[in-house]
This record gives sequence, C-alpha cells and structure tokens, in this order.
Amino acid sequence: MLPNAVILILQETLEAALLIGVLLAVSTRVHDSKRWLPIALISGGCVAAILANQMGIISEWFDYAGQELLNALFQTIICLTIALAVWLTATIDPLNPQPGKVAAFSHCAIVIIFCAVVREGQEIILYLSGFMYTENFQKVLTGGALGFSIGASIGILLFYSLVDHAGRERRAACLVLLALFAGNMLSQSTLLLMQIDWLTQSPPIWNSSTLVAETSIFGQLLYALVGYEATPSPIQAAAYILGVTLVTGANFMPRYYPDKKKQQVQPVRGNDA
Amino acid sequence: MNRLIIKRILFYFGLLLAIAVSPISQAAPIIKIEIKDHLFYPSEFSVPANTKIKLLIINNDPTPEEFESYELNREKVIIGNSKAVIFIGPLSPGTYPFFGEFYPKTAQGKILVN
Repeated sequence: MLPNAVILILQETLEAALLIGVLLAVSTRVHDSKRWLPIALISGGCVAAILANQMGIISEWFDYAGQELLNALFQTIICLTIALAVWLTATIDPLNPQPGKVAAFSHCAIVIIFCAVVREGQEIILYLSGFMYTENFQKVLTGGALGFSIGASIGILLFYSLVDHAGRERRAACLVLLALFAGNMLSQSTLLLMQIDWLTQSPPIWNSSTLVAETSIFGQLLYALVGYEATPSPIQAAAYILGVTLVTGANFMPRYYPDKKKQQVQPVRGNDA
Repeated sequence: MNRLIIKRILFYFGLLLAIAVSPISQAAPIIKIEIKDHLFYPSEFSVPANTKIKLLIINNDPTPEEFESYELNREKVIIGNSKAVIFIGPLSPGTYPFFGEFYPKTAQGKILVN
C-alpha cells in the first residue's frame, strides 16, 4: 500500500510543483511579492475538498460527462492564463516594473495555481478518503507525505536551477517550460473530451511506448514536464501545438505591437538623458 | 488586414471543431464492467476492432476507484456506489490493459480487440 501511495501522490503533486517552480522563477524576474502562492494553495485546497465531496453529483452532469468537462475547463483556463501571464511578463520592464502589470501577473499566477491545485487536489482527497476508516490509513498517509515531499522537492529544485541562470537564459527556459505546460493542458483537455465522446477519437499518429513507456519513471517525468504521450491522436497533437503557439505568440507579440503609451513616454525619457 | 486574418483563423478553427464534434449521433455498443472488492468483473473481455465502445463502469465498493489505462489513454475517478461512462475506440486489434489506480494490486483487467 505504501509504494502505491507514494507513486500516486507524487504523480498528482509533480505537475503543480513544476508549474509553481517556473512561476516563482518568473515572479522573481518581475519583482513580484509572491503572496499569490499561499492564496492559490489555500483557496485551491478548499475548493478541491468541496469538489471531491460533491464529485458523485458532478460526475452525473451532462449524462456522466461532468467530471471530464470540469477538468477540461480548468485545463483550458490554465492554458489561456499562462498565455496572458507570459504576455504580461514580456511587457514588464524588470528594471522599472509597473505595479499594475505586476499585480495583474500575480492574479494570473493565482488563477493558474488555483486551477492546478483544484484539479490534482480533488483526486488526492478522494484517494485518501477511501482509506480513512481502514487500518491502512496510517501507511497511506505516510506514503502520501513521502510522495508529496518528493514532488515538492523536484519543484524547488527546478525553481533554484532556473533562478541560478542569468536573466536571458532564465527567461528563455521559463518561456519554453510554460509553453510546453500550456500545450500539455490543452492536449489533455481534448483527451477528456474524447473520453466523453464530445470529440472523435482517431488512430494515434505515432506509438513510442517501446521507446519511452508512459509507465516508466522517465515517462512519468516527461508527462509532467512536457505532457508526453506515447500514443497521441491528431487532435491532441493539434491542441498541443495550439497551446505552445498561443504562449510563444503572447511572448513575442509586444515586440511587434509595442505599448503605445510606452512609445509616447520613451522620447521624453531619451531627451532627459 | 490583421483583423481579417484573425477572423479567418477563428472561422477555420471553429469549422474544424464543428467537424470534430459532429459525429456524436452514432450509438456505441455498451459494455458493463462492475467493481466489487477492488476487482473488475469481467476482468477480461473482447470487443470488435475499429468500433467505438461505451464502457459503463459500476463501482459497487463504498470507496472510490480510478479507472486507468495508458494504452487506451483513459482515466476517470468513480465514486463509491456510483457509476461512470467512458468511451473508447475505434481501436486497432491488440490487447489493452486497464487497472484501478487506487487499488492496482487487485484491480486489473484487459480488453482484447479483434
């Protein structure tokens, strides 16, 4: 029972931990207060508990499609909010951060982590609730705590390895990771829509299960980090590309469509100098 | 000009989505799976290839279970004493294992597609 609890909680924790690690690294660049983290964790945990408690009713919505629709909604919100957060960070000057944009970034971070915690938290709560009145509860809790600690440690490790790098390298690494996260979220949401027959399932475009099995540790890490799927369908791949394009587009958009207010201010600052 | 391009992209994206969602009307054969004492009944069954299947999973245990299959790309939590629906396929011939993620030692099964 203990190894299964470690693996299950680690799987559920890893995705959110990595996302928190990257967002913390981004927030360090824009000199954000990081108050969004406890707010998102506490509110996400509370809502996850409520949803886990009501999951029986939610699952029956839309002819037993409620669970998938809710999770697909959270995933889509995560993807779109990552794009918005990336656009905001691309417009923030790290040497002179505008308070309004920094606050907007904080709100985006709250939404992203809130949705990630709600999504994964409800499954953890449901899993633990199944053992609550059994003799194995202590073992499962210990295993869960161990899995959670490993997941959190990997997130912390990612944060420090990102912060350790210079500005431009860190920015590029954060952008790549956030783009892959967004692609992963949108791809997973299409998978859920296929599960309830709202999207048509089609044959996979490749099968790499012999190369990297999804069940392997490397496969699990790749899944959490870049949304690795051994047998993705064309719709999944298209959604993944769309998510990645949205985020990279949001990052480069300010270069082609610069802030008009900033443009008007710049010549004045130039004359002063 | 740019607005026109964005409008066109949105139109084609909507069109693609409509095409992807449209073939919902086809009724899929239903396979009933029951969970009892953290075991699947039946734990092994056959389905025809290239056919969409509707799995009706009834959890008779008081505890939740998660139906999961890496090969089928499916995962869904089923609350205790409740039922859930999962669509699979069309699948190519082969063996597709599935398991209960909350009790993986006992809850094991496979779908034979032929």
